[in-house]
Amino acid sequence: MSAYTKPIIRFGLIMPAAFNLVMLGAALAGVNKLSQVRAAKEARYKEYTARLQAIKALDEHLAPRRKVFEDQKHILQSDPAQLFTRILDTMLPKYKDFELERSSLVFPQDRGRIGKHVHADVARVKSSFEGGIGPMQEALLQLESLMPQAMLEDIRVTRKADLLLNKPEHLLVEMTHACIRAGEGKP
Amino acid sequence: MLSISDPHDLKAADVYRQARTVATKTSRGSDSNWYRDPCEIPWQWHLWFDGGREVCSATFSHAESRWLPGPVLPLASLTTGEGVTELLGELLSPKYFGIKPRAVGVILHVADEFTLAEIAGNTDAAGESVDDFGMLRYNLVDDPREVLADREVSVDTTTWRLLPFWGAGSGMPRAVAVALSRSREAFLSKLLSCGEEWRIPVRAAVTSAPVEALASLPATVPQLSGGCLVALPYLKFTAVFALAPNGELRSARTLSHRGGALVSASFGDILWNMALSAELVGSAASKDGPPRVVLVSTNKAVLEQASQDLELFSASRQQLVFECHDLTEATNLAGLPGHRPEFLVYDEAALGQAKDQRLAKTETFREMWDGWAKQSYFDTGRLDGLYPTLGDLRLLKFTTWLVALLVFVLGGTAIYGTYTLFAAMNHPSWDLTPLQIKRTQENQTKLLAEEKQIDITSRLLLPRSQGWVALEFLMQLFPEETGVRLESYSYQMEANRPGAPVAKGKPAESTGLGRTWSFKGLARSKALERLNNLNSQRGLNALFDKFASDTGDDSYKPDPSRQLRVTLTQNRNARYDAQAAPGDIAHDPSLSFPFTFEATITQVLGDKDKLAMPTDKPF
Repeated sequence: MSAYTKPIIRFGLIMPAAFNLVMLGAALAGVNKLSQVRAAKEARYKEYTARLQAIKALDEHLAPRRKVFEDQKHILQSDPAQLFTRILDTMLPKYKDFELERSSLVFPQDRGRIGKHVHADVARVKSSFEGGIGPMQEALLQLESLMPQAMLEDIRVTRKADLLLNKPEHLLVEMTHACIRAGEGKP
Repeated sequence: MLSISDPHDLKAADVYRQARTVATKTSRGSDSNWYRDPCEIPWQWHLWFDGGREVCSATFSHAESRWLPGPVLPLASLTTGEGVTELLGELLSPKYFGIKPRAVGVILHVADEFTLAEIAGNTDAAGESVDDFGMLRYNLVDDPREVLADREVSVDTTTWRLLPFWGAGSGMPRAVAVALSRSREAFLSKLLSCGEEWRIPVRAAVTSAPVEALASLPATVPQLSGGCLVALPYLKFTAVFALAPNGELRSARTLSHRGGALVSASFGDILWNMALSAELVGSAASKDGPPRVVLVSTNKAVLEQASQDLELFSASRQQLVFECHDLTEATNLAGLPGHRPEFLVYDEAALGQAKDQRLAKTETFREMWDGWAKQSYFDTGRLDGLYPTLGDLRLLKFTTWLVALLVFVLGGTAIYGTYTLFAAMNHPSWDLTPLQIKRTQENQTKLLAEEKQIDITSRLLLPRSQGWVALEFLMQLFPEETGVRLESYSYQMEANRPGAPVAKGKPAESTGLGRTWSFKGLARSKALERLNNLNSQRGLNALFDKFASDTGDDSYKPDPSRQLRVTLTQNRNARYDAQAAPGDIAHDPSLSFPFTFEATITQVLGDKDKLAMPTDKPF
């Protein structure tokens, strides 16, 4: 080993190599950090663009349904009892007594068989009629067409003859409708 | 010109700087000739000087084994170093080597002095093996005063090299030191400086001509076998070497020529005494006869004078047998300028021709050819020590490349990083703000909530149970004139208990439904078939399927996921009276029906059914 060997190793190898390695380490760390930031940003951007596309698709999907939804909201926000009554009041005068006659109309406060397991607010309408099955069916068709929120919870049809009133055998129809409506509902 | 300082006097940083300067401004790092011995360089300039008026100059092309007369070197130049630049310039022309040499090895064969110095403790301390001689040789160069018997010598004016006596007998000196003055180093130093300046490797050596001449004996006097004294007369002295009967060197002596004589005074006496001390008198080699003397020279006059002296001595004192060899007549020296035998040692082709001679097979001559005869008295070690070694320069080159590689990698990394940054900054993602992301998330959440509201609302309003359909079902199940009189009919729908939560904290989204149709009435015989058809699964499914198609109510459509069951009970009518009059029948129609029946149809819609009841509120 000559007098030059150690200085060459020290100044020519160790110091520049150490400096370069430190710089290289710092550069690699910087590049790595930058790559991580870039990857995170691009992932967020990818998610952002995917979300934009989803929003666009969702918006296109919802646009034609919004008008219907507004109508549905309007229906659900109306009071079923008043509506039920008004429709019957409008419809029943068209029938003669022996054809169809309302016997009773009550509004039970309990949630009934349908409302007991759902959270939506449910208004029940219990009604009974006397008359023939044809008018009854026609009346129900009109009523349920105007009130899609009304679901038939039960119906019972029995025969009845009121000899005292000289009324021939006719049908007694008792039914309960459960009407979904907007509101607080069940917690 | 490059200014080089002793690295031991510099700081480490300056030493490194000097190494870089040498690497960049000289060819030492790329030309290994700077670090070779002069005799290893393919282009050699041999100078032979015996103190006479002329200097014998010869060039040797190692590759071609070709000797040519070299540039004429004035005697003054050898002493003062004048005109060295011109000489070197002439030497570097293609005139002497056929091509322009890339390096020159200068070897000065000194034949004007041959001084022998005794080695301290020579008979005891001297080694017997090659390794011991090597150690002694190293010590003699490193610190002559420690090795020489005479410690009062001047190392500034004289240099010593070891000459081992491989054939020394018991009690005889094992080696002797050959001394040469350093008076010609100025000339050689100027040559070296000139080479440095021109960036041409010039390597120099000073050798002892008598030792080289001795080493060339197997080639110049092939028939020589040993057991004799070999006298090599020069202008100022005669070198005498005693060869043992086996051909090994036993001793050496120098005889000065006084008063311009061609041979030493008392030449015969000295040779006789030397033969006695070397135990060559009466030896087997001389066949119990007189000692044998071999006179070798290129000077015919010298040989004649020596012959006369020895003849006279033999006649008057002791008998000596002598033989003369005129080297000017030697065929293998014919091509050498000046017929100098000393040059032969550097010509491997010439030595190769003599390797089968008896002397050539002795250890003495093998070792002499291997390097002992070519020992340089010019200590270039100190001069070489000023410069980095070839290993240092290769290490420096390696470190330069390594650092350059690291810088390249660093630069590449920086460029890649810059590119990555540039690419990242030009990507739309770079400008995306958290506020934009938040707004988008909120917008999507809002739309999803709206979609959920719409879905729930739409599903809530699906026609899953309608009164007019329930009555229509009754009408289609038992039309007029089917022989059935219904006493009562009921229908009811009930929401089932919701299923298990789909996830923790997230209840089931829908609940299934159960529907029941109950019929109670009277039947005639013709209605039994209809009732029985109702009582089968296939008949029931067909009935529901047809009804769903007729009414467009999907809740009646049979599906594998929908359970549909029927229970039918038929009994005889106790009130049936086959003989009943029409008036009685009109009063009590049950009299005309022989059977009673009760039927119950149940349908279960699961919570996955499209008509299942959503449990959530609409909005």
